[in-house]
Amino acid sequence: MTQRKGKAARSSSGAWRAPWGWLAFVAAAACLPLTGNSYLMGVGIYALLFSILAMGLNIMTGFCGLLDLGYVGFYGIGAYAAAVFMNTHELSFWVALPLAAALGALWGTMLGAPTLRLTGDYFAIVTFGFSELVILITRNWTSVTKGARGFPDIHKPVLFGYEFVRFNPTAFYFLALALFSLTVFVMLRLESSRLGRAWFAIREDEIAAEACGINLRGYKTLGFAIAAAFGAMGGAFYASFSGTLHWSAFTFSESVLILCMVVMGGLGSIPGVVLGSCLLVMMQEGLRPQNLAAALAPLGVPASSIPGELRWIVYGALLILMMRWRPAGLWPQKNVAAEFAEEADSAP
Amino acid sequence: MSVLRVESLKASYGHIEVLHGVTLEVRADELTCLIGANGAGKSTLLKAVTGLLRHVSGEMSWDGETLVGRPAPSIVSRGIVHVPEGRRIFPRMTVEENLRLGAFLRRDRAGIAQDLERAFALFPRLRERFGQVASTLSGGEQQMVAIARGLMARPRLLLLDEPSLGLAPLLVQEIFRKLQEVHREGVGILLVEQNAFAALSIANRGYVMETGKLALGGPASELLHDPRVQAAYLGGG
Ligand SMILES: Nc1ncnc2c1ncn2[C@@H]1O[C@H](COP(=O)(O)OP(=O)(O)OP(=O)(O)O)[C@@H](O)[C@H]1O
Ligand SMILES: [Mg+2]
Repeated sequence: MTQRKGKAARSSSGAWRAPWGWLAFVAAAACLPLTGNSYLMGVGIYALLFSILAMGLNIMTGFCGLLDLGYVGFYGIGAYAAAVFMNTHELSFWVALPLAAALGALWGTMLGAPTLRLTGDYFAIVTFGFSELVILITRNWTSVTKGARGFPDIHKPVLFGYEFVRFNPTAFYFLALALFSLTVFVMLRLESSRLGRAWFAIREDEIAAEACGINLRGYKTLGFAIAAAFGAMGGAFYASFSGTLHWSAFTFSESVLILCMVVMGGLGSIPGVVLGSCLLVMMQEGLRPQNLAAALAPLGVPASSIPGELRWIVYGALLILMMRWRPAGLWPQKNVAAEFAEEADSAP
Repeated sequence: MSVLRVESLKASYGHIEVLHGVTLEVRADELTCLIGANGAGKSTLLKAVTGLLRHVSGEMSWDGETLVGRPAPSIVSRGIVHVPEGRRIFPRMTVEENLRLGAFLRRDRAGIAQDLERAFALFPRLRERFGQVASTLSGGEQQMVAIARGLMARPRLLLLDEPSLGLAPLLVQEIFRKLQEVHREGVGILLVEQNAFAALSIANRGYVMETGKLALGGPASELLHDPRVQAAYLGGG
């Protein structure tokens, strides 16, 4: 049967086809540490981390077609949960990570089950409120989260007696690559599964999906829970990698950033979403005030004249350009691209 | 033989009640048609039966088992399948993907393949277009997809909401012939139609709905000649 063309779609014979494109991507990414450049590896870690988050959000926004404006809430829950599990309860990172993901799924279910029957706009507002609530709690539940000062000295993963260090990020880089590969694998399987078909049907037409016997609330809630689990897993990684947590890393602007990655890459398209994440993380690096100042200094541009939040202006401009020229994203899902092409053809 | 029994069914949207106690019977060996003016509540009745609308009271049963309060998947798996008003195909999916989603609750691969063949035999046009994205089909082809998708659930009773909407007269005739064919193969049909004459001509039994209530009911041939029906729905008098 013909499936949606992911890189790992089942071929028409029904046999599993290896996702060669992804294997090549991971193999190439695995060579980055050969440069020995810690800065590059640091950027690579963020690109992989945000790819994981964007792929998670893509389940909701891309696969199910539900706008989630508070995805960062699950990222925050995962990060703080992992910090508390490791530091307060002395659990190893390898236990804290899956526990944090499970907790994310639990919160996703608890938030999703009652709210997913709301129509699109209201649901988006609820998710936004949820992520604001997470920030309020992390700032004020001082006994557990250490409050607004931030959570310090979070333990590092230890593997066979080796403790990961931030300043030589090779080990963290490979950990991020492993989690990324796991995420891609799960996403490809979901995309071509029965669950994936239910999500796509819901995205296309809820009433028709229900008439086909698809349990709307059940499948949406499941999608929300799985998305939340990946967000929380990313958070757990981030907690251990950064070593400190501060509520300001989980604000609404991060949700918007992740959403930009998904939309820019191509809603519903797994390679697109990864591409969008990598591009935006690289741009974010390039647009950092210090980096910009260094780059522009030879041209005689004084550092003080560079706006601090320039990146948001650039993102905004980019999104507008994208919506004009590539509305389906940089690497769209096949049938989404077809629809936009059709609309462009029929435009006067 | 299975019978869908609806008794004193009330349904509302928010606080507005639109079905004020409807009682009717649909037999799974008949082709039943339901006619009525715009806004009479025909679509609402279908939605209530198939669990798409939850605010209902009264009694609905199928095979002696109550349907009230059951969610949509549980109704579909009992063999009552709804082809909603306005086609509602999955626009960005291919014809084949659309049809396979109709069989979402089924696990019997062989049976699904067989039913796909039967759907293509019924609508040869769909076989030619099975890899085409559904939004690019013509209106008539989209209606065929909607009906075929309903059949993919292997219904015992198929509820069709205005399948002739927006189709040219010739195509309406063709669709109605296909429905008769489906009926001959042993699927019960409840057909909601504006096209009262055509619907009553192919039906065994007919019901007429007026503002949330059943006004008339009986053998289709009698309704065709009933002066009240002729005056109100057949443009005669
Ligand atoms: N989602 C809804 N919310 C509120 N009111 C609704 C909704 N759907 C239908 N109604 C109202 O319920 C009444 C019955 O509508 P219904 O769609 O069942 O009529 P119908 O007999 O199918 O009409 P038509 O032949 O035009 O399709 C109408 O007055 C309509 O305005
Ligand atoms: Mg109607």
